[in-house]
Amino acid sequence: MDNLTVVLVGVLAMLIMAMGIIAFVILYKRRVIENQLEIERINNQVEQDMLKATLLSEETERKRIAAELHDDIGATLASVKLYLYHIKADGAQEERLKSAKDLLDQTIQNVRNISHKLQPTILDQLGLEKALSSYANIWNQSGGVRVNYQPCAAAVVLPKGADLQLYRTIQELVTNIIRHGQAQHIDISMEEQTGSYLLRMLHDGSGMDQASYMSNLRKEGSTGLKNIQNRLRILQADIQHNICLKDKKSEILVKIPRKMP
Amino acid sequence: METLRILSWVSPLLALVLGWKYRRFSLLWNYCLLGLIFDTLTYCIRFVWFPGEQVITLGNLFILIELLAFGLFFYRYVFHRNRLFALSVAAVAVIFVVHTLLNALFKFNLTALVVLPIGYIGCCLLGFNAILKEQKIQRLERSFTFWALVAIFIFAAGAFFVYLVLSQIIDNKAQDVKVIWFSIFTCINILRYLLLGIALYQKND
Repeated sequence: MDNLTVVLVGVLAMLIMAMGIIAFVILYKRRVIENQLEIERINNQVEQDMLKATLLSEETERKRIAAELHDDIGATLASVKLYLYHIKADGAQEERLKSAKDLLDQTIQNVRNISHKLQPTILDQLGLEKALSSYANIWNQSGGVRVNYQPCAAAVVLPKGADLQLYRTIQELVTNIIRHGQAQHIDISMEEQTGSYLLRMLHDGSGMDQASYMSNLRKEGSTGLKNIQNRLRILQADIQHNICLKDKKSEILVKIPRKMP
Repeated sequence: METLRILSWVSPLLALVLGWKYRRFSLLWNYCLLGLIFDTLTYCIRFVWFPGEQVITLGNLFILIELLAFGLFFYRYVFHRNRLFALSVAAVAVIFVVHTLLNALFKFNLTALVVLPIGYIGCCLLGFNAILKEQKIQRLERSFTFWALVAIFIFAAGAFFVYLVLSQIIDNKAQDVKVIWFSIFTCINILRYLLLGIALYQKND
């Protein structure tokens, strides 16, 4: 073999060997990445399943407490009311009896409200929109805070179980807005978008921007926010907190996909 | 032939432009710049200022710069600032300088030309091994280190055989053999700068 052939064959052999090694590295690394992503996906799935199981057991417990309140305490109070209405009193006693009746009526209503908040039977029977309207009414009846719910133009159709998660998220958000933001007026609306629904909550309380929300979420405690985040993870929804400087109002936007994998 | 020579001469430009555009004036960008300067100087000396003269000392100087640049690259990205490796590179550089001064001041240091690519190949293989062991989820096609390693590996693997027969090519009287040898070397040179260009296009790891 002459020099030229040696050079050509040698260089070609070296280059082919180099390409082979590089191809091996690329393919091997790709496989490793695919495996890592698969492990990550499985871990996420397990985490999601555990989260669902936790929330499900929480819901079961709420249902049980709501049933006890409604069927036991509620029924007992109704019987007490019946007995009170059969008592005949005169003079000063009559005034006291009236006060007792009023207090009892108020207590029965409170028990109903608590029971309703714990287990919104209306959600199972009439759907999310009616349940939200009813929830807004409960706040309006309590006085002080005005909650206005504007239903979606089209019917809101969410996968099974997702409506309850969304309902609970809204409950938690409203409670936070009233408790921490000292809002007096809350407007809740739902609108249909391509492939998703947009929940908008506008209030006149002191709100927070997205950065504050994320920072509060990382703080120890803040169970409410963590619950919201967990429920949103199950819904695969995104949340955005905005402060509108112009009219001093705060806004919370939640984008919920219609279909969840 | 002349086209190939010019192509080889301007091949570092792509890497330089990409590095300039994305503000990545890394070690390898400076290496490409020095490559362009040395090629320009060689061209000017051989064809403009002193036609027909050999510029071997300049070539030896570039071998030293290449050793330091690649050594520093491996030191940072493959050996993660290992002092022993830095000392080894410094020792090899000193040996190269002494060997050149003693044996090959006015001719190509052929021993270094053949031995150094073997070292680069070894370091690149260690670099690939480190990439495979890495737990980080990162697409290789977006990795600066990977593309830089590919550039050095392909260049070293190709240049090793080219340099191995260099002494015989220099002694060979046949012009066509020299032309083909030069063409092969030029292609490998262009390939090196193209791959370095791709590396500089990626974000630093």
